[in-house]
Amino acid sequence: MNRSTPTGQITPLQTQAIVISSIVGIGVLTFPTYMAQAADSGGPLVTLLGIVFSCISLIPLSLVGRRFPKENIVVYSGKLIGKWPTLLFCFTLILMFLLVTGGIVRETAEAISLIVLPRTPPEITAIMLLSLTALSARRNIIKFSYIHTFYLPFILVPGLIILIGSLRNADYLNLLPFTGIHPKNVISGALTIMGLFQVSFILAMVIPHMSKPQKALNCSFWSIACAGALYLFIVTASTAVFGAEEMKEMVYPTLELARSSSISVSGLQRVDGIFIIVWVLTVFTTLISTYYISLYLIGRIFDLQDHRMLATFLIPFVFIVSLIPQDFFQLYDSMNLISIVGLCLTFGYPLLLYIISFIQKGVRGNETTG
Amino acid sequence: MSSWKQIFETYKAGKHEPVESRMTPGTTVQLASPSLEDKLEAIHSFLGESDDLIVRRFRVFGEIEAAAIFMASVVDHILIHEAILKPLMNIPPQLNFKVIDLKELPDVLLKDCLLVTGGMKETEAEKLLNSIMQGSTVLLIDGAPESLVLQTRKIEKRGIEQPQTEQVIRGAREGFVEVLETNLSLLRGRLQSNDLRIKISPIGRRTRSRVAVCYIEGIVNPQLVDEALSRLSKIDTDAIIDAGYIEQFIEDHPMSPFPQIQSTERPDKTAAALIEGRVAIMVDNSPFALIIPTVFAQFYQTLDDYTERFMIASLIRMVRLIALIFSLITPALYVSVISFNPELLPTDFAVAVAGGRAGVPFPAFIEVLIIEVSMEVLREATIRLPQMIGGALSIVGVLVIGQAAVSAGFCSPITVVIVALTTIGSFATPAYNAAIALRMLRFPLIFLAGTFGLYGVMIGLILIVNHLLSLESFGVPYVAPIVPGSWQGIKDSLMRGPLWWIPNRPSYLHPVNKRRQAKKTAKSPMDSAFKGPTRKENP
Repeated sequence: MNRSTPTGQITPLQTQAIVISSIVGIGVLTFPTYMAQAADSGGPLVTLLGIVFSCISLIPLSLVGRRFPKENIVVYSGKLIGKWPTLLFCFTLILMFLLVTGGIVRETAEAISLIVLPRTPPEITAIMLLSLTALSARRNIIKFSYIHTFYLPFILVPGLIILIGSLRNADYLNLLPFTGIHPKNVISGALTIMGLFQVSFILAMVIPHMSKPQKALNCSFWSIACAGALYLFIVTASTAVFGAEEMKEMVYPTLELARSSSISVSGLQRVDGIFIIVWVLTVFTTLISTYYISLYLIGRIFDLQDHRMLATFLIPFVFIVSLIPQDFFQLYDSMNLISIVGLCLTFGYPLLLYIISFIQKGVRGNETTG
Repeated sequence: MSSWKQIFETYKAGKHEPVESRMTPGTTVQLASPSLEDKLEAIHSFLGESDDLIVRRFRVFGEIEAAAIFMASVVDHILIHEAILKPLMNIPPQLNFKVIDLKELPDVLLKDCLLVTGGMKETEAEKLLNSIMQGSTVLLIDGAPESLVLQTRKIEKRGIEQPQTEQVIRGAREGFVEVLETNLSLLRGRLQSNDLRIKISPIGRRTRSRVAVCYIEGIVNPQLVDEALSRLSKIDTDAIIDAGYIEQFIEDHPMSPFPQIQSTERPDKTAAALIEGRVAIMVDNSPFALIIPTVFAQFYQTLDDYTERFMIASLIRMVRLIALIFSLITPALYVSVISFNPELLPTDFAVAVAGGRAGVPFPAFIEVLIIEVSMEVLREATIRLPQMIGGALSIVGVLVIGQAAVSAGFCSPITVVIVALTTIGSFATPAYNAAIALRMLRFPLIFLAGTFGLYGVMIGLILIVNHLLSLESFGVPYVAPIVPGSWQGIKDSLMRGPLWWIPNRPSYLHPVNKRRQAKKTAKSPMDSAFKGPTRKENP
């Protein structure tokens, strides 16, 4: 009956849904190419490495969130490292996630106009996607969790069916050797995966509203494992179907995979239309998460009652950001750069907080016992 | 009786002021005075202009001057004759030769003389007048300061019939009627529990429609009753004509196309809802009960689901859900596939579609829009016609116009199929108001499909689903029990589990009493299901 934001209502299952559907996003379309470029047939192994790294990188965030279960990140960070450093970190995070949002919008618009709507200007597609995000991000965090929970099956199930359908063209010799022939850029490949997984920072927003914040670490493991399994499946399937060398030349290997997939019972000639539908959904869930992180942080810094107006007013900014890159290559280069910088933030900032809270607790613990 | 000319003259001479109540302090004093003539004069000044006011003057026990005042149109005349006038004119044997003080007279009359079921003493002027309007008979006695209000209300009503909008194959054939008392008796007859609480109070300054709030104490979440009563108490309007008026005043999201309160004509459905821990609101003169809170799943459930075998019921429920989704997205999907992604269709079928569309002058988007709009016009036209004409018209509309439109090259046959499927799909939904919401939402979807193809359809669908996810009905999420998920709830929302398998009331209602069955109830059906039928040996 209470219409204000209730605390402690998001269940562990909903938390996992939020993290999984945030992670599975725009990247699924292109990342097998990067994996092939990093270590040709060793792509799956590099992906696995990236997943393990991402799993580890979420630990400090979950631990520090568990230590302050009822407070949001702005509050406890202010307690730990002081007001001004917190503001600095938070504003950098906000800026970064707004840039990421803009980048994703642009990437989606480019992909849509390349694949399904060749005659529609990408700006129009971008505006539609942005208005959808703005309208949906107005809700409080409980409704936000409902959105993610509801869409998760619609992302995973059709995705898996399409992938399984593509396996009939697979040649498993393409996967050998597992380590790759020339594994040049293993670390940068793993970093790319971590960059795709950094939307999992949304966990920081969710933990204070969880019914059982102590389960945050558990949730983060499971959700990274689940999303990681999907990524691993995609890269393995596309490497097996196309072979690493062919994949290096592709822009959207996953889409090609969907095109090659054929499910006889579906009554459809090709399933890539279905794939685009599912993919719009995954993009939307990622987009709403990145945008929500920015809105949430601004809302907490300025102690806003709700962020409805904010959600609308930030849209032109994101739209302008999405227009900045001149072309595809510039877009992908800058997205890579942002994700590397972002990694330092989304991993380094919680790590810093955790270390300081650990030290403080140690000192305080000594005081109370001594 | 005066002629129309006289009526016209008096009306013209009278004052007509925009006032809520004509009650003045002077008349109140007059009504409180012991003199019968004063009281009659006061009542005449209020109600005298209505010609169905009847003032029957007589002598109580042949001695004391008195008057019975009532509205001829809303009372039971035989009851007044038998239970009020007759006993008052003949002195009853136990009162023979007794000396009765004039002040005690109303009491004595109530206890010894009058034969009506409801009666009380009243002195307040406003209550006296209101009770006359509601069908009570007011008994004024010369010399006694108190007047008697006697329950004689009788409103003409139709008989109890099978509800037209919610027919069932297997289940009770009774539906609510317009009279609140009858409806409450239908409900109480089904819930013979001393925990069923019914609170009645009027709403509406002019209509004074009686509104009843029903719930079962000990099951319902007290906060829910609290919220319902508080929302009802905030309504201040002049007229409540139907339960639909109440619905619009108390719903959570007035700007949403989706109904957030279920309305039903069926007493058994209402009783089942109360048992689950919901609250029902009924309004006098409306055959619909409002059930709160409501979740979306209720709109594709019927009573049949629970009276028939659970597997069949689960299947039928899924069919209805699919039909509901069909009615929303089929035309949009068709438009987007035809105009943007024809490569998705199998080649043979694509050729057939292209052949059908040859010669059609419009793009698929306009074509579907035209046919859909004409279908809506046809639906709206037939809905209010008498059944015989309606049937004929729909045959003319659907068969003849559809066939002629195709052979005239106005639209392709596949479009007619799609539109027909959509329309049939939306009529498979038991709740008319929920189906109509989705039917109307398919028009924006067709627009999006015509401009942005599958991408547009997806954006539109996400918007609709997000809206559904954000709705609440009295604090309960609209899409519960799917999101937030609850396994116990899914057993009775997407599917319909066997009754013994659903031991708990829906958890999203937060009922005080959670279990509806004892644990051992499920044991014997479970045993029969998994170990084969068990039979006790006869000794």
